[in-house]
Amino acid sequence: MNAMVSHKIVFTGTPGAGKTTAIAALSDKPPVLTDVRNTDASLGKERTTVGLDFGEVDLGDGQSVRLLGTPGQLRFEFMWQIIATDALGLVILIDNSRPDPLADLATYLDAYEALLPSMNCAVGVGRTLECPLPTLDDFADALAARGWVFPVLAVDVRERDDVLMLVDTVLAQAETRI
Amino acid sequence: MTLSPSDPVALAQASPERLALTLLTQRLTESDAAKLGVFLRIGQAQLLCDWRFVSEGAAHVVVVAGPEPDTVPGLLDNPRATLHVLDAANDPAGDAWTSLLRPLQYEAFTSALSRIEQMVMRPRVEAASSTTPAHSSPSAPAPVPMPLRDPALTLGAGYRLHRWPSADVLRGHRYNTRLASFMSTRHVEIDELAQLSNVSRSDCIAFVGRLLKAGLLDVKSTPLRLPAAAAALASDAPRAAALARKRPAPGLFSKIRHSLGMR
Amino acid sequence: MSYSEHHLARHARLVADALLTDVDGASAIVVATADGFHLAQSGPRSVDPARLAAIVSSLAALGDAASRETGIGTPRCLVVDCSDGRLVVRCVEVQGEALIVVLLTDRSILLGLALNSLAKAEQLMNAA
Repeated sequence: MNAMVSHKIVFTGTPGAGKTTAIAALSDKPPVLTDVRNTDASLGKERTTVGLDFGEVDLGDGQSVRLLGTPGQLRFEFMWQIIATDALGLVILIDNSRPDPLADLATYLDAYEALLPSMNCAVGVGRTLECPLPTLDDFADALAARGWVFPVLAVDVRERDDVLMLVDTVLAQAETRI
Repeated sequence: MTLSPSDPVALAQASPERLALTLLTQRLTESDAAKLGVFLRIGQAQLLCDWRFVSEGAAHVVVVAGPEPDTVPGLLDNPRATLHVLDAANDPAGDAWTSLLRPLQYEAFTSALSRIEQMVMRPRVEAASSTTPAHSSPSAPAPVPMPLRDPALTLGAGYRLHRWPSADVLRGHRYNTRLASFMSTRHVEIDELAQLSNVSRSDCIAFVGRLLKAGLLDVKSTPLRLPAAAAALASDAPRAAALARKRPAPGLFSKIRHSLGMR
Repeated sequence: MSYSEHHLARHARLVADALLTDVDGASAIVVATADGFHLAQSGPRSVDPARLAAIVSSLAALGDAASRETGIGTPRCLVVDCSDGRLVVRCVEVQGEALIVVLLTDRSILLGLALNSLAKAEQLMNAA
Protein backbone atom coordinates (compact mmCIF):
# COMPACT_ATOMS: atom_id res chain seq x y z
CA MET A 1 0.00 0.00 0.00
CA ASN A 2 1.46 3.37 -0.95
CA ALA A 3 1.67 5.84 1.86
CA MET A 4 -0.27 8.99 1.08
CA VAL A 5 1.92 11.99 1.74
CA SER A 6 0.53 15.46 1.47
CA HIS A 7 2.15 18.79 1.99
CA LYS A 8 0.39 22.12 2.14
CA ILE A 9 1.03 25.66 1.08
CA VAL A 10 -1.23 28.27 2.62
CA PHE A 11 -2.36 31.48 1.00
CA THR A 12 -3.44 34.16 3.41
CA GLY A 13 -3.85 37.90 3.21
CA THR A 14 -6.29 40.72 2.94
CA PRO A 15 -9.79 40.25 1.58
CA GLY A 16 -9.75 40.81 -2.13
CA ALA A 17 -6.00 40.23 -2.45
CA GLY A 18 -6.58 37.18 -4.63
CA LYS A 19 -6.08 34.12 -2.45
CA THR A 20 -8.86 32.20 -4.14
CA THR A 21 -7.64 33.28 -7.57
CA ALA A 22 -4.07 32.27 -6.76
CA ILE A 23 -5.12 28.80 -5.67
CA ALA A 24 -7.31 28.37 -8.71
CA ALA A 25 -4.33 29.30 -10.89
CA LEU A 26 -2.27 26.41 -9.56
CA SER A 27 -4.74 23.72 -8.61
CA ASP A 28 -5.06 20.65 -10.83
CA LYS A 29 -8.83 20.76 -10.49
CA PRO A 30 -11.21 23.61 -9.70
CA PRO A 31 -10.71 24.31 -6.02
CA VAL A 32 -13.27 23.73 -3.31
CA LEU A 33 -14.54 27.11 -2.24
CA THR A 34 -16.32 28.28 0.88
CA ASP A 35 -17.28 31.75 -0.16
CA VAL A 36 -20.60 33.27 0.78
CA ARG A 37 -22.39 36.51 0.12
CA ASN A 38 -20.54 39.41 1.65
CA THR A 39 -22.53 41.73 3.91
CA ASP A 40 -19.70 44.11 4.73
CA ALA A 41 -20.03 47.02 2.31
CA SER A 42 -16.53 48.24 3.11
CA LEU A 43 -15.05 45.20 1.40
CA GLY A 44 -16.33 46.17 -2.00
CA LYS A 45 -16.88 42.64 -3.16
CA GLU A 46 -19.88 40.45 -3.57
CA ARG A 47 -18.59 37.27 -2.03
CA THR A 48 -16.04 36.40 0.61
CA THR A 49 -14.33 33.27 1.89
CA VAL A 50 -15.40 32.19 5.36
CA GLY A 51 -14.12 28.64 5.57
CA LEU A 52 -11.10 27.78 3.53
CA ASP A 53 -10.29 27.37 -0.13
CA PHE A 54 -8.87 24.05 -1.09
CA GLY A 55 -6.88 23.17 -4.18
CA GLU A 56 -4.46 20.37 -4.88
CA VAL A 57 -1.45 19.57 -7.04
CA ASP A 58 -0.83 15.90 -7.63
CA LEU A 59 2.86 14.97 -7.53
CA GLY A 60 2.31 11.30 -8.34
CA ASP A 61 3.38 8.31 -6.22
CA GLY A 62 0.72 9.14 -3.67
CA GLN A 63 2.14 12.57 -2.96
CA SER A 64 0.34 15.85 -3.34
CA VAL A 65 0.54 19.46 -2.34
CA ARG A 66 -2.61 20.98 -0.91
CA LEU A 67 -3.19 24.65 -1.56
CA LEU A 68 -5.24 26.17 1.21
CA GLY A 69 -6.67 29.65 1.32
CA THR A 70 -7.68 31.30 4.55
CA PRO A 71 -10.50 33.78 5.00
CA GLY A 72 -9.04 37.27 4.92
CA GLN A 73 -10.97 39.13 7.58
CA LEU A 74 -9.55 39.46 11.03
CA ARG A 75 -12.57 37.84 12.67
CA PHE A 76 -11.49 34.56 11.11
CA GLU A 77 -8.07 34.72 12.71
CA PHE A 78 -8.85 31.52 14.61
CA MET A 79 -8.75 29.72 11.24
CA TRP A 80 -5.39 31.16 10.23
CA GLN A 81 -3.30 29.32 12.79
CA ILE A 82 -5.25 26.10 12.37
CA ILE A 83 -4.77 26.09 8.62
CA ALA A 84 -1.14 27.23 8.65
CA THR A 85 0.18 24.83 11.29
CA ASP A 86 2.65 22.34 9.76
CA ALA A 87 2.44 24.04 6.39
CA LEU A 88 5.33 23.75 3.95
CA GLY A 89 4.95 27.46 3.29
CA LEU A 90 2.86 30.56 3.76
CA VAL A 91 2.13 33.14 1.10
CA ILE A 92 0.83 36.49 2.36
CA LEU A 93 -1.03 38.38 -0.35
CA ILE A 94 -1.45 42.11 0.12
CA ASP A 95 -3.71 44.38 -1.88
CA ASN A 96 -1.81 47.62 -2.43
CA SER A 97 -5.00 49.49 -3.24
CA ARG A 98 -6.21 49.26 0.34
CA PRO A 99 -5.83 52.28 2.65
CA ASP A 100 -2.85 50.98 4.63
CA PRO A 101 -1.14 47.96 3.09
CA LEU A 102 1.80 48.09 5.50
CA ALA A 103 -0.62 47.88 8.42
CA ASP A 104 -2.29 44.96 6.67
CA LEU A 105 1.07 43.21 6.46
CA ALA A 106 1.65 43.87 10.16
CA THR A 107 -1.69 42.27 10.94
CA TYR A 108 -0.66 39.01 9.32
CA LEU A 109 2.83 39.10 10.76
CA ASP A 110 1.28 39.50 14.21
CA ALA A 111 -1.27 36.76 13.64
CA TYR A 112 1.30 34.23 12.48
CA GLU A 113 4.06 35.36 14.80
CA ALA A 114 4.35 32.05 16.59
CA LEU A 115 4.74 30.15 13.32
CA LEU A 116 6.99 32.53 11.39
CA PRO A 117 10.38 31.59 12.87
CA SER A 118 10.18 28.21 11.19
CA MET A 119 7.89 29.13 8.33
CA ASN A 120 8.87 29.50 4.71
CA CYS A 121 7.06 32.69 3.90
CA ALA A 122 6.71 35.04 0.95
CA VAL A 123 4.82 38.29 0.48
CA GLY A 124 3.02 39.00 -2.78
CA VAL A 125 1.86 42.56 -3.33
CA GLY A 126 -0.93 43.05 -5.82
CA ARG A 127 -2.18 46.07 -7.75
CA THR A 128 1.22 47.77 -7.64
CA LEU A 129 0.78 49.20 -11.13
CA GLU A 130 -2.26 51.22 -10.24
CA CYS A 131 -1.11 51.80 -6.64
CA PRO A 132 2.70 52.03 -6.59
CA LEU A 133 2.87 53.12 -2.95
CA PRO A 134 3.97 51.72 -0.65
CA THR A 135 6.82 50.34 -2.72
CA LEU A 136 8.21 46.84 -2.50
CA ASP A 137 11.22 48.36 -0.75
CA ASP A 138 8.86 49.78 1.86
CA PHE A 139 7.54 46.29 2.48
CA ALA A 140 11.06 44.87 2.66
CA ASP A 141 12.03 47.60 5.13
CA ALA A 142 8.95 46.89 7.22
CA LEU A 143 9.81 43.21 7.35
CA ALA A 144 13.47 43.88 8.14
CA ALA A 145 12.44 46.22 10.96
CA ARG A 146 10.71 43.25 12.53
CA GLY A 147 13.64 40.95 11.87
CA TRP A 148 12.12 39.10 8.93
CA VAL A 149 13.67 38.55 5.55
CA PHE A 150 10.91 37.20 3.34
CA PRO A 151 10.73 37.47 -0.42
CA VAL A 152 8.62 40.45 -1.44
CA LEU A 153 7.34 40.35 -5.01
CA ALA A 154 4.90 42.33 -7.08
CA VAL A 155 2.27 39.93 -8.34
CA ASP A 156 -0.83 39.79 -10.44
CA VAL A 157 -2.53 36.64 -9.15
CA ARG A 158 -4.39 36.33 -12.42
CA GLU A 159 -1.00 35.55 -13.98
CA ARG A 160 -0.02 31.98 -13.17
CA ASP A 161 3.68 32.73 -13.59
CA ASP A 162 3.50 35.39 -10.90
CA VAL A 163 1.92 32.96 -8.47
CA LEU A 164 4.52 30.34 -9.40
CA MET A 165 7.29 32.80 -8.62
CA LEU A 166 5.90 33.24 -5.11
CA VAL A 167 5.67 29.49 -4.60
CA ASP A 168 9.21 29.09 -5.96
CA THR A 169 10.59 31.40 -3.29
CA VAL A 170 8.77 29.38 -0.63
CA LEU A 171 10.21 26.14 -1.97
CA ALA A 172 13.71 27.62 -2.09
CA GLN A 173 13.48 28.55 1.57
CA ALA A 174 12.24 25.07 2.43
CA GLU A 175 15.20 23.52 0.62
CA THR A 176 17.68 25.37 2.80
CA ARG A 177 16.00 24.21 5.98
CA ILE A 178 16.52 20.52 5.26
CA MET B 1 46.92 17.24 -4.74
CA THR B 2 49.28 16.81 -1.82
CA LEU B 3 51.67 19.53 -0.90
CA SER B 4 54.41 19.66 1.61
CA PRO B 5 53.05 20.84 4.89
CA SER B 6 56.03 23.07 5.40
CA ASP B 7 55.97 24.82 2.05
CA PRO B 8 53.67 27.80 2.35
CA VAL B 9 54.94 29.21 -0.94
CA ALA B 10 53.85 26.09 -2.80
CA LEU B 11 50.58 26.19 -0.97
CA ALA B 12 50.19 29.83 -1.87
CA GLN B 13 50.75 29.19 -5.54
CA ALA B 14 48.60 26.12 -5.76
CA SER B 15 45.31 25.95 -7.56
CA PRO B 16 42.41 27.24 -5.54
CA GLU B 17 40.80 23.83 -5.90
CA ARG B 18 40.87 21.30 -3.09
CA LEU B 19 44.13 20.89 -1.26
CA ALA B 20 45.05 17.74 0.60
CA LEU B 21 45.90 18.41 4.22
CA THR B 22 47.02 15.90 6.81
CA LEU B 23 46.43 15.33 10.48
CA LEU B 24 48.76 13.46 12.81
CA THR B 25 47.44 12.34 16.18
CA GLN B 26 49.60 11.85 19.24
CA ARG B 27 48.70 10.12 22.49
CA LEU B 28 44.97 10.17 21.80
CA THR B 29 42.88 7.45 23.34
CA GLU B 30 41.33 4.98 20.92
CA SER B 31 37.95 6.45 21.64
CA ASP B 32 39.03 10.01 20.94
CA ALA B 33 40.82 8.99 17.76
CA ALA B 34 37.76 7.09 16.54
CA LYS B 35 35.52 10.06 17.27
CA LEU B 36 37.72 12.42 15.31
CA GLY B 37 37.72 9.92 12.48
CA VAL B 38 33.95 9.91 12.38
CA PHE B 39 33.75 13.70 12.69
CA LEU B 40 36.09 14.05 9.75
CA ARG B 41 34.13 11.63 7.59
CA ILE B 42 30.90 13.48 8.33
CA GLY B 43 32.34 16.97 8.02
CA GLN B 44 34.57 16.40 5.00
CA ALA B 45 31.91 17.43 2.49
CA GLN B 46 31.61 20.82 4.07
CA LEU B 47 35.31 21.55 4.44
CA LEU B 48 37.24 23.26 1.69
CA CYS B 49 40.22 20.91 1.69
CA ASP B 50 40.64 17.14 1.57
CA TRP B 51 41.73 16.06 5.00
CA ARG B 52 43.17 12.70 6.02
CA PHE B 53 44.85 11.23 9.02
CA VAL B 54 48.44 10.06 8.81
CA SER B 55 50.16 7.87 11.32
CA GLU B 56 53.69 9.17 10.95
CA GLY B 57 55.84 11.70 9.25
CA ALA B 58 55.22 15.35 8.61
CA ALA B 59 51.65 16.60 8.86
CA HIS B 60 49.96 19.94 8.43
CA VAL B 61 48.18 19.64 11.76
CA VAL B 62 49.08 17.75 14.89
CA VAL B 63 46.30 16.72 17.25
CA VAL B 64 47.83 15.88 20.60
CA ALA B 65 46.38 14.85 23.93
CA GLY B 66 47.73 17.31 26.43
CA PRO B 67 49.54 20.58 26.21
CA GLU B 68 52.72 19.57 24.46
CA PRO B 69 53.26 17.53 21.33
CA ASP B 70 56.04 14.99 21.05
CA THR B 71 58.83 16.27 18.94
CA VAL B 72 61.03 14.16 16.75
CA PRO B 73 63.72 16.14 15.04
CA GLY B 74 63.29 16.20 11.30
CA LEU B 75 59.87 14.59 11.32
CA LEU B 76 57.67 17.25 12.80
CA ASP B 77 59.00 20.36 11.23
CA ASN B 78 56.66 23.26 11.52
CA PRO B 79 53.13 21.86 11.52
CA ARG B 80 50.80 24.60 10.41
CA ALA B 81 48.78 24.14 13.56
CA THR B 82 48.58 22.11 16.71
CA LEU B 83 45.31 21.19 18.34
CA HIS B 84 45.36 20.11 21.98
CA VAL B 85 42.81 17.65 23.29
CA LEU B 86 42.19 18.61 26.90
CA ASP B 87 39.87 17.73 29.73
CA ALA B 88 37.61 20.62 30.48
CA ALA B 89 37.92 19.90 34.19
CA ASN B 90 41.69 20.22 34.06
CA ASP B 91 41.90 23.12 31.67
CA PRO B 92 38.56 24.87 31.45
CA ALA B 93 40.12 28.01 30.07
CA GLY B 94 41.91 26.33 27.21
CA ASP B 95 42.70 28.47 24.22
CA ALA B 96 39.53 28.39 22.19
CA TRP B 97 41.48 28.42 18.95
CA THR B 98 43.74 25.49 19.63
CA SER B 99 41.95 23.43 22.28
CA LEU B 100 39.48 20.65 21.79
CA LEU B 101 37.84 19.97 25.09
CA ARG B 102 36.57 16.56 26.06
CA PRO B 103 34.00 15.24 25.43
CA LEU B 104 35.03 15.96 21.88
CA GLN B 105 32.44 17.89 19.89
CA TYR B 106 31.90 17.71 16.16
CA GLU B 107 31.41 21.42 15.68
CA ALA B 108 34.50 22.39 17.66
CA PHE B 109 36.67 20.02 15.60
CA THR B 110 35.36 21.03 12.22
CA SER B 111 35.45 24.72 13.14
CA ALA B 112 39.09 24.31 14.11
CA LEU B 113 39.87 22.64 10.77
CA SER B 114 38.04 25.37 8.96
CA ARG B 115 40.08 28.06 10.70
CA ILE B 116 43.24 26.20 9.76
CA GLU B 117 42.06 26.03 6.15
CA GLN B 118 41.53 29.78 6.15
CA MET B 119 44.99 30.27 7.53
CA VAL B 120 46.54 27.93 4.99
CA MET B 121 44.63 29.25 2.02
CA ARG B 122 44.66 33.00 2.68
CA PRO B 123 48.18 33.57 1.36
CA ARG B 124 47.14 31.73 -1.84
CA VAL B 125 44.31 34.15 -2.50
CA GLU B 126 46.42 37.21 -1.80
CA ALA B 127 49.29 35.88 -3.93
CA ALA B 128 46.97 34.99 -6.77
CA SER B 129 45.23 38.36 -6.76
CA SER B 130 48.51 40.19 -7.09
CA THR B 131 50.03 37.97 -9.73
CA THR B 132 50.53 39.64 -13.09
CA PRO B 133 49.47 37.35 -15.90
CA ALA B 134 52.47 36.32 -17.97
CA HIS B 135 50.85 37.16 -21.27
CA SER B 136 49.69 40.67 -20.40
CA SER B 137 51.02 43.69 -22.24
CA PRO B 138 50.02 47.34 -22.19
CA SER B 139 47.97 46.97 -25.32
CA ALA B 140 46.27 43.69 -24.42
CA PRO B 141 43.01 43.86 -22.56
CA ALA B 142 43.36 42.85 -18.94
CA PRO B 143 42.07 39.36 -18.39
CA VAL B 144 38.83 39.18 -16.50
CA PRO B 145 39.80 38.22 -12.96
CA MET B 146 38.27 35.07 -11.53
CA PRO B 147 35.31 36.13 -9.42
CA LEU B 148 36.70 34.01 -6.57
CA ARG B 149 39.46 36.57 -6.23
CA ASP B 150 36.94 39.33 -5.63
CA PRO B 151 38.30 40.83 -2.42
CA ALA B 152 34.74 41.40 -1.29
CA LEU B 153 34.19 37.65 -1.14
CA THR B 154 35.65 35.57 1.65
CA LEU B 155 36.75 32.02 1.07
CA GLY B 156 34.66 29.57 2.98
CA ALA B 157 32.22 32.24 4.09
CA GLY B 158 28.48 31.90 4.36
CA TYR B 159 26.16 34.65 3.20
CA ARG B 160 22.75 35.52 4.53
CA LEU B 161 20.42 38.34 3.63
CA HIS B 162 19.46 40.75 6.35
CA ARG B 163 16.94 42.47 4.09
CA TRP B 164 15.15 41.38 0.92
CA PRO B 165 16.79 42.99 -2.14
CA SER B 166 15.12 45.62 -4.25
CA ALA B 167 13.89 44.74 -7.71
CA ASP B 168 16.92 46.47 -9.27
CA VAL B 169 19.32 44.16 -7.47
CA LEU B 170 17.30 41.09 -8.42
CA ARG B 171 17.29 41.96 -12.10
CA GLY B 172 19.69 40.31 -14.51
CA HIS B 173 19.43 36.58 -14.05
CA ARG B 174 16.14 34.75 -13.98
CA TYR B 175 17.19 32.74 -10.96
CA ASN B 176 18.30 35.70 -8.83
CA THR B 177 15.05 35.65 -6.89
CA ARG B 178 15.54 32.00 -6.13
CA LEU B 179 19.17 32.56 -5.12
CA ALA B 180 18.08 35.34 -2.80
CA SER B 181 15.43 33.06 -1.31
CA PHE B 182 18.09 30.47 -0.47
CA MET B 183 20.01 33.15 1.42
CA SER B 184 17.00 34.46 3.28
CA THR B 185 16.77 31.67 5.87
CA ARG B 186 20.39 30.98 6.82
CA HIS B 187 24.01 31.51 5.83
CA VAL B 188 24.82 29.72 2.59
CA GLU B 189 28.21 29.22 0.99
CA ILE B 190 28.81 29.85 -2.69
CA ASP B 191 29.25 26.16 -3.50
CA GLU B 192 26.06 25.24 -1.70
CA LEU B 193 24.22 28.05 -3.47
CA ALA B 194 25.36 26.73 -6.82
CA GLN B 195 24.39 23.20 -5.86
CA LEU B 196 20.95 24.15 -4.58
CA SER B 197 20.12 26.35 -7.53
CA ASN B 198 21.94 24.62 -10.36
CA VAL B 199 23.20 28.07 -11.29
CA SER B 200 26.84 28.29 -12.30
CA ARG B 201 29.30 29.11 -9.58
CA SER B 202 30.43 32.23 -11.42
CA ASP B 203 26.86 33.53 -11.67
CA CYS B 204 26.36 32.83 -7.97
CA ILE B 205 29.55 34.68 -7.17
CA ALA B 206 28.48 37.61 -9.32
CA PHE B 207 25.10 37.83 -7.63
CA VAL B 208 26.55 37.53 -4.14
CA GLY B 209 29.04 40.25 -5.05
CA ARG B 210 26.15 42.47 -6.10
CA LEU B 211 24.33 41.82 -2.84
CA LEU B 212 27.50 42.58 -0.90
CA LYS B 213 27.93 45.87 -2.70
CA ALA B 214 24.30 46.72 -1.89
CA GLY B 215 25.06 46.07 1.76
CA LEU B 216 22.41 43.39 2.05
CA LEU B 217 24.42 40.47 3.33
CA ASP B 218 25.61 39.24 6.65
CA VAL B 219 28.86 37.31 6.20
CA LYS B 220 29.88 34.52 8.51
CA SER B 221 32.94 32.35 8.17
CA THR B 222 32.27 28.72 7.42
CA PRO B 223 28.72 28.07 8.51
CA LEU B 224 29.30 24.39 9.14
CA ARG B 225 26.09 22.63 9.99
CA LEU B 226 26.01 20.15 12.77
CA PRO B 227 24.18 17.06 11.60
CA ALA B 228 21.58 15.84 13.95
CA ALA B 229 22.94 13.47 16.63
CA ALA B 230 26.53 13.74 15.50
CA ALA B 231 27.63 12.63 18.92
CA ALA B 232 25.56 9.49 18.68
CA LEU B 233 26.92 8.82 15.23
CA ALA B 234 30.45 9.03 16.56
CA SER B 235 29.94 5.68 18.25
CA ASP B 236 28.47 4.04 15.15
CA ALA B 237 30.93 4.53 12.36
CA PRO B 238 29.25 2.48 9.59
CA ARG B 239 25.92 4.19 10.15
CA ALA B 240 27.64 7.54 10.28
CA ALA B 241 29.32 6.91 6.97
CA ALA B 242 26.05 5.81 5.39
CA LEU B 243 24.23 8.84 6.66
CA ALA B 244 26.98 11.10 5.47
CA ARG B 245 26.50 9.76 1.95
CA LYS B 246 22.72 10.15 2.16
CA ARG B 247 21.60 13.45 0.71
CA PRO B 248 18.63 15.45 1.91
CA ALA B 249 15.54 14.66 -0.11
CA PRO B 250 15.67 16.89 -3.16
CA GLY B 251 12.99 14.85 -4.89
CA LEU B 252 10.06 16.58 -3.24
CA PHE B 253 10.93 20.04 -4.43
CA SER B 254 11.84 18.87 -7.91
CA LYS B 255 8.52 17.07 -8.07
CA ILE B 256 6.61 20.11 -6.94
CA ARG B 257 8.39 22.35 -9.43
CA HIS B 258 7.90 19.82 -12.21
CA SER B 259 4.22 19.34 -11.38
CA LEU B 260 3.67 23.08 -11.41
CA GLY B 261 5.58 23.47 -14.66
CA MET B 262 8.41 25.49 -13.13
CA ARG B 263 11.97 25.33 -14.37
CA MET C 1 -18.80 43.08 14.94
CA SER C 2 -22.49 43.48 15.77
CA TYR C 3 -24.94 44.27 13.10
CA SER C 4 -27.55 45.91 15.30
CA GLU C 5 -28.74 47.98 12.36
CA HIS C 6 -28.86 45.06 9.94
CA HIS C 7 -32.25 44.79 8.28
CA LEU C 8 -32.72 41.33 9.77
CA ALA C 9 -31.49 42.26 13.24
CA ARG C 10 -35.02 42.50 14.59
CA HIS C 11 -35.86 39.05 13.22
CA ALA C 12 -32.71 37.72 14.75
CA ARG C 13 -33.51 39.10 18.19
CA LEU C 14 -37.01 37.67 17.98
CA VAL C 15 -35.72 34.21 17.27
CA ALA C 16 -32.98 34.35 19.87
CA ASP C 17 -35.55 35.17 22.55
CA ALA C 18 -38.03 32.59 21.30
CA LEU C 19 -35.52 29.77 21.33
CA LEU C 20 -34.46 30.59 24.84
CA THR C 21 -38.09 30.21 25.94
CA ASP C 22 -38.86 27.12 23.87
CA VAL C 23 -35.81 25.04 24.58
CA ASP C 24 -35.35 23.90 28.14
CA GLY C 25 -31.68 23.69 28.81
CA ALA C 26 -30.66 26.16 26.12
CA SER C 27 -27.64 27.95 27.45
CA ALA C 28 -26.86 30.30 24.55
CA ILE C 29 -28.29 31.28 21.20
CA VAL C 30 -26.47 33.30 18.58
CA VAL C 31 -27.86 34.37 15.24
CA ALA C 32 -25.27 35.29 12.64
CA THR C 33 -24.90 36.22 9.00
CA ALA C 34 -23.41 33.63 6.70
CA ASP C 35 -20.22 35.67 6.50
CA GLY C 36 -19.77 35.58 10.26
CA PHE C 37 -21.27 38.71 11.84
CA HIS C 38 -23.50 38.21 14.85
CA LEU C 39 -26.96 39.80 14.74
CA ALA C 40 -28.38 38.76 18.08
CA GLN C 41 -27.74 36.59 21.11
CA SER C 42 -29.53 35.37 24.19
CA GLY C 43 -29.04 32.94 27.04
CA PRO C 44 -27.46 32.71 30.44
CA ARG C 45 -24.13 31.34 29.29
CA SER C 46 -21.41 33.83 28.56
CA VAL C 47 -20.07 33.40 25.05
CA ASP C 48 -18.21 35.77 22.78
CA PRO C 49 -20.91 36.22 20.15
CA ALA C 50 -18.62 37.83 17.59
CA ARG C 51 -16.11 35.02 17.78
CA LEU C 52 -18.73 32.30 17.84
CA ALA C 53 -20.45 33.86 14.84
CA ALA C 54 -17.24 33.71 12.83
CA ILE C 55 -16.52 30.14 13.86
CA VAL C 56 -19.95 28.77 13.04
CA SER C 57 -20.02 30.61 9.72
CA SER C 58 -16.84 28.70 8.82
CA LEU C 59 -18.47 25.48 10.01
CA ALA C 60 -21.52 26.17 7.94
CA ALA C 61 -19.45 27.01 4.90
CA LEU C 62 -17.45 23.80 5.25
CA GLY C 63 -20.69 21.88 5.66
CA ASP C 64 -21.92 23.47 2.48
CA ALA C 65 -18.71 22.51 0.70
CA ALA C 66 -19.10 18.93 1.91
CA SER C 67 -22.68 18.75 0.73
CA ARG C 68 -21.75 20.12 -2.70
CA GLU C 69 -18.85 17.73 -2.94
CA THR C 70 -21.12 14.80 -2.20
CA GLY C 71 -24.11 16.11 -4.12
CA ILE C 72 -26.58 15.75 -1.29
CA GLY C 73 -28.28 19.08 -1.56
CA THR C 74 -28.31 22.10 0.71
CA PRO C 75 -27.10 21.74 4.28
CA ARG C 76 -29.69 22.27 6.98
CA CYS C 77 -27.94 21.49 10.24
CA LEU C 78 -24.57 20.72 11.69
CA VAL C 79 -24.18 19.25 15.14
CA VAL C 80 -21.08 19.41 17.28
CA ASP C 81 -21.74 16.73 19.87
CA CYS C 82 -19.39 17.12 22.83
CA SER C 83 -18.86 15.49 26.19
CA ASP C 84 -20.42 18.41 28.06
CA GLY C 85 -22.97 19.73 25.63
CA ARG C 86 -24.06 20.23 22.07
CA LEU C 87 -23.76 22.95 19.50
CA VAL C 88 -26.54 22.74 16.96
CA VAL C 89 -26.08 24.95 13.92
CA ARG C 90 -29.02 25.59 11.63
CA CYS C 91 -28.57 27.22 8.24
CA VAL C 92 -31.66 29.26 7.45
CA GLU C 93 -32.85 31.53 4.72
CA VAL C 94 -34.74 34.65 5.66
CA GLN C 95 -36.03 37.00 2.98
CA GLY C 96 -33.58 35.43 0.56
CA GLU C 97 -30.61 35.92 2.84
CA ALA C 98 -28.59 33.13 4.43
CA LEU C 99 -28.34 33.26 8.20
CA ILE C 100 -27.03 30.87 10.79
CA VAL C 101 -28.77 30.10 14.07
CA VAL C 102 -26.65 28.50 16.75
CA LEU C 103 -28.14 26.75 19.74
CA LEU C 104 -25.89 25.73 22.62
CA THR C 105 -27.44 23.18 24.98
CA ASP C 106 -26.50 20.67 27.63
CA ARG C 107 -26.72 16.98 26.84
CA SER C 108 -30.07 16.52 28.54
CA ILE C 109 -31.92 17.96 25.55
CA LEU C 110 -33.04 15.51 22.95
CA LEU C 111 -31.39 16.36 19.67
CA GLY C 112 -34.67 15.97 17.83
CA LEU C 113 -36.33 18.58 20.01
CA ALA C 114 -33.51 21.00 19.37
CA LEU C 115 -33.71 20.46 15.62
CA ASN C 116 -37.45 20.89 15.68
CA SER C 117 -37.18 24.13 17.61
CA LEU C 118 -34.68 25.47 15.17
CA ALA C 119 -36.93 24.61 12.24
CA LYS C 120 -39.74 26.54 13.89
CA ALA C 121 -37.34 29.44 14.43
CA GLU C 122 -36.79 29.69 10.70
CA GLN C 123 -40.52 29.81 10.12
CA LEU C 124 -40.85 32.46 12.79
CA MET C 125 -38.22 34.66 11.16
CA ASN C 126 -39.80 34.39 7.77
CA ALA C 127 -43.21 35.20 9.21
CA ALA C 128 -42.01 38.23 11.12
